[in-house]
Amino acid sequence: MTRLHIFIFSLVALATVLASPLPASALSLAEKASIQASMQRHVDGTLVNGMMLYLDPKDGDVHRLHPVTAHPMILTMGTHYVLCFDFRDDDGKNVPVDYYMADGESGYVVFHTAVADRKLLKQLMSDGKVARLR
Amino acid sequence: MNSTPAFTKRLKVKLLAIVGMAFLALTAPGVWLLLQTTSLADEELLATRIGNLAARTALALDRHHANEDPSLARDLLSPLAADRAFLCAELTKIGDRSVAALPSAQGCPPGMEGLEIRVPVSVNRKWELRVLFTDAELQATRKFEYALGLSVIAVAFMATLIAVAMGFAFLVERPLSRLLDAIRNSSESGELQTADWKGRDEIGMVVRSYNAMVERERQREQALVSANEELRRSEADLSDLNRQLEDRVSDRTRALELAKKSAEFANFSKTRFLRAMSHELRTPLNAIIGFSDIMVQGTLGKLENDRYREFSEDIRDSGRHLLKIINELLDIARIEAGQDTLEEGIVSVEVLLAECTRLVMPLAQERSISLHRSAIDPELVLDVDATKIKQVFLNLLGNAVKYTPNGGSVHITATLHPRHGDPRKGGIEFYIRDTGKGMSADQIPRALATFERLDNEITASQSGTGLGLPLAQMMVELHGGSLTLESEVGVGTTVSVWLPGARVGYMRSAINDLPPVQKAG
Repeated sequence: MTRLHIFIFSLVALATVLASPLPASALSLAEKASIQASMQRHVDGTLVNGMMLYLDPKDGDVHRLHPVTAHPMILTMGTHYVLCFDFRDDDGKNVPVDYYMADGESGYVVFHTAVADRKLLKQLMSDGKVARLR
Repeated sequence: MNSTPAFTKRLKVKLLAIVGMAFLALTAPGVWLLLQTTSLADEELLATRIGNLAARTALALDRHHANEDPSLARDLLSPLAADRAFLCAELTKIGDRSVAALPSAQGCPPGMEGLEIRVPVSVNRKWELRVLFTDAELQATRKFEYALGLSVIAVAFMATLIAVAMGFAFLVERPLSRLLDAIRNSSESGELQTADWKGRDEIGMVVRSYNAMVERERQREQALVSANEELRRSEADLSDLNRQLEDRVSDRTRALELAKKSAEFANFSKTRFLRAMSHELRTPLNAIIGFSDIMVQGTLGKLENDRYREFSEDIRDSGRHLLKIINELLDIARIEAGQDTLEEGIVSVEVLLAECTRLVMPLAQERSISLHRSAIDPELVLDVDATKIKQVFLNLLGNAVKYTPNGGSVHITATLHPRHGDPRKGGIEFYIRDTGKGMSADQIPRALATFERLDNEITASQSGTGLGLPLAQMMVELHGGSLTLESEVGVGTTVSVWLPGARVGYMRSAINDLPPVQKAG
């Protein structure tokens, strides 16, 4: 086997590795839409006069958060999912809110809400427990 | 030599194959990954859009209790139709028929293909909104993106191959082609040719190195041609010189032959003359000596006058001296003419030296000179011409006594030298040492020359012919030996006589190194 053959073989192997099929998507497009709709319904259901009231345990104040937009990205956490929604406080500052959802018998249900706690999500991602849905 | 290699063996083809495969291996997976990521993002955007739209519609239906008012429900459903992915929607009570639908007259007929989501409308989940939508836009977008990606890859691939081919042609193929042409032309014409390329890259260095090598070879060839030319000239000069030398040698040879013949003729004439003259001289000389001796002896009557008797003695002594000169001259002439032969025989060294010592002893005693002789093995013998060797030792001892002042001493010793396996070495060496006035180094050759005397004044005690020492040397050399002189002014003279081992032996043959003398014949 010549050096040229070794080189060609190496290239083919590299291409095979790089072009290996990505993990199949865990959810169909309809399911993703259902999750987004469920989160939206949950957000709408928690609004008080169009605002989400949030009791900050640090200062004991109740902050008013205005819904702005939902993130399209869906994260998986085992059999559960994590979706993000951007809110804005009265000062115009963005406040991220993460919704941890589970697939229940009657549809997707939010079982935990993390307000302005992005560290939790980052920690879970760094631990490998949360990953982007493919 | 094949001018062009096979297509698959060409350097450019190999390079293009490597670059093409490397390009595809590196870019195609990257583009594929990019397309996948973009497709996923598009899918998530579509899901978010449809999900949010359906959820907000469900919220509106719930808030306005539209399940109780189909017209209001249809109005609230109508914004869904603004989305291009929308297919149909129905507001239904779970387990019952729909209250409102969009399109209003059709709703979602059975068998309609599409993606479905169901969003609860009321908190008690009795009512729900069913929405069907399509991912056609996603598929279209994917097709477009894939086509675009493939096109980009193809264009980039072709551009890369073209760039590599052009770069290779300019950077490598052209200089290599010129270098190859130069080498081929050199091979065909037999004359080294340089390649015309001025690049400064590695190929340029190769071409420059080749050109430098060609220049060196040219210079070497030129040097060889010059050296050959010089060699040819030198050869011609050498031939001329040889011819001249041969001419000179033959001229010189002819001259030498003439000179030799002249010398031989002169020598022959001299010898003949000497022999004739000697014979003619000795006859009357013997008569003079005999008659003067009769007169001295008073055989026929004593001479009355003492002066006459003294004159008679002078006549006899002068006659004897003259006879001796004539005899020695005759000997030298015979030896030089090669007519003298050795009458070899066995003679005892002790007897020989004892007799010589005895004959010289009166002269030594007369001048109070002590004459010593070393002890010599009585069995030691020589195979020599006894008369000539005796004449040699008598001459040397006589000279030693003659040239040693009164009260001095003369020693004669003999030493054996082993041969150590070499027949040219070894033998016997006699040393005659005196305590005379000695000679300087420049006088020694004169002492060995005929008719040369170191002192011009001849005294009674030192009278000589000047022929004795040269004649002794000749006689020793006739025996294959040698005679040498060592002397120091004021100290004395030592004469060495060496005879070869072949002439030395023992009567009892006890020593291996010195074989017993066997008389020839």
